[in-house]
Amino acid sequence: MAQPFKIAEPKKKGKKKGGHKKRSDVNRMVAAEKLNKVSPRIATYISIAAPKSRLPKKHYCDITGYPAPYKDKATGLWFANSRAYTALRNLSHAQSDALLSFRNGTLAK
Amino acid sequence: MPTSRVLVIDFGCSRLRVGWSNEDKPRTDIPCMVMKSRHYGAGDNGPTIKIGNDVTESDLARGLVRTGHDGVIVTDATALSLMLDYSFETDLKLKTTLKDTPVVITEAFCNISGARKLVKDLLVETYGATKVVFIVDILTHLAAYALEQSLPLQRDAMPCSGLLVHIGHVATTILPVIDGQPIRTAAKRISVGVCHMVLRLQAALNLRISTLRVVGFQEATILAHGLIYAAEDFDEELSAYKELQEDYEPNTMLEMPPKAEPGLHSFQPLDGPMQQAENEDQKEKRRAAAAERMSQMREEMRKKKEEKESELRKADEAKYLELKRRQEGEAERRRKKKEEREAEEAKIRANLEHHLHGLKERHISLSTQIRELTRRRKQLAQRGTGATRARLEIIAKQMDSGDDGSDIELSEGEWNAYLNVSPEDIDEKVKQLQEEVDRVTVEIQQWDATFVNREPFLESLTVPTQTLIGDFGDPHKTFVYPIGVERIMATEALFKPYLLGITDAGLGETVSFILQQIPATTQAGLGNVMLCGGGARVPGLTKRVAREVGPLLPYSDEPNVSVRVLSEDLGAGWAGARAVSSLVDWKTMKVGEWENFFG
Repeated sequence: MAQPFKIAEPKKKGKKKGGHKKRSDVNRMVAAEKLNKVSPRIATYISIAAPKSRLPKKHYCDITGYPAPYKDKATGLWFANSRAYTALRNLSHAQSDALLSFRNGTLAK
Repeated sequence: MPTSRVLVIDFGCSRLRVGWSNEDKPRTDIPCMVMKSRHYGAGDNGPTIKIGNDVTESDLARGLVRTGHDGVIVTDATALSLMLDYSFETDLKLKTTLKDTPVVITEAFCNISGARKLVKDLLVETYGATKVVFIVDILTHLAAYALEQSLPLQRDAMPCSGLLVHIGHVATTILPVIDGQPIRTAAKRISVGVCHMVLRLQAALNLRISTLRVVGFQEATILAHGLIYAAEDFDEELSAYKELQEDYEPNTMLEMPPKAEPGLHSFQPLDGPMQQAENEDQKEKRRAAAAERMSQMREEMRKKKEEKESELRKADEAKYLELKRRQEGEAERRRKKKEEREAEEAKIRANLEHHLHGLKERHISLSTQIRELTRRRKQLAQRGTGATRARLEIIAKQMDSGDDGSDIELSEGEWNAYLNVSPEDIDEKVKQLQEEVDRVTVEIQQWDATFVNREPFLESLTVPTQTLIGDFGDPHKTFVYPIGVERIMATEALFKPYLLGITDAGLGETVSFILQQIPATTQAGLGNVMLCGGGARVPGLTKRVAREVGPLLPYSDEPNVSVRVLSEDLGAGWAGARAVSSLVDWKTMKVGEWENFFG
């Protein structure tokens, strides 16, 4: 019997493309001392890193900063109201990218 | 061996402080920055190296600056050695090696031993130090506090217990201390620090103001001191800002002149004579005539094309000239305006106090007018309710008497109350006055940056000003930055790191993780929250931390959390390291030995 949908095939596991990522100085030090294998009863540089956040994320408007219920799919920016949306549509690519960089981790690096 | 003098080095992520233990203040206090110019041998003196305060904003923007750290860990001994050389030469005037001088140096909490070895090797091999002691930088703040409060300082116990929160330059570390013993396994480090707050503010400012002027990191750091604060309730504060309805104006670009469209050419069929039966002469004649006509037509087409092109060129030139003229005219107008403004400013500057006084009086009179109008509106509303009551009484009278209402006697007061129901156009008046007040406020703030216009609805919240004005080195120019929600957004990253794209848990969530590892019977002692580090001085942070941490602790009738800043002094880390240096028994220390204090 023909099925109306296609059964998804499991993804093939393979080597990722691209070169080996360069390690930072700290990561090299951590690897040299094998801190991953130290028992958790001893506090190390790795064990005291804060865990990942489990709380739900709240979205804030990228233009006004207020709580934002809507997202613009073209730019990926969140907006709070129509006024923010009109401002958002008038942004240049560079400006919208700069706004995006606030919360996609490029600032923190 | 003279043990009275110990070299104390506080090598933080943001600043390097070096000094002697027998002096109150560090001799060197510079930002941790080393810049080496890229062009080798460009001048006669070869490559230049700039250190500390000499590093300029443009060097920072070019990204050649090293701090010696990767995160909180020291990875670059060369940078440290350059900075120490600078300090020893200019401030300490050190001429010999450190052979007879014991050294105390701070390190990050839970430092990697490789990084510690790096620093120790540098001190021992390059500078010839024989006795080096490492102290955890968070705990030095506690030692400095103990010194201030004259609490007993011991070798193996902390002076006080509670939750120690160190908000540093690149990371925030939380360490629970119970009964004087730090619980290292329960400690956590969040990778959000002061520099993240400053970066967020800098990026927001750069997006807000003209593209011609760029706020650098150092300038943003100065701005952040008076600008950022922590909101006690973030969403409530946001709604307060929402009422301000500030305008967002994205940078407008100058429109470029449109490009001239290339001339459109279309091929037109030549309608020649119908091919007929003809003899050779006729054929040749016709061909010659056709060739002549063709050449004529080609000539005509060429001429037409040239004419068209020249027309287009002329139009382009005319457009360009007009645009240029317009720009020049605008520039001249602007220059004139600027001159006028400068003349006015000079006039005002000559008599600034009088001018300010007049402006402030005007502000006061306007705001009192607004207040009276709003009070009048309130009164009218009350009268309205009074009038309806009067009307109801009339109806009740009518019902009682059984009349049809033709001859009801109204008292004069009732009638006046009835007339006064219709409100006047107070709203518009208030709006106009409010605009005037805003204008006057901005004008005052141009001259007096400390002036604060307190809006009535903001009285309960702490939102001082919308704009910040500063002249950075150039007193003739003042820059006005419209700034709003960014003031709290920058600090909010500490509690919601995902605002900056960092996956770590926020401060409140991390404290809840820490409490899971500590038995419930001892949790009550952690209500004593001690903030230290450079970020602890952010205004409003104590209230916010109390709000985040309080509900997590075991319930009690009394307020179960008290948050305080250990020291307002920025050099508390160095002072603490200096205090600890007196605890070390330098005589029994062996050559090259190092030890770690407070666990």
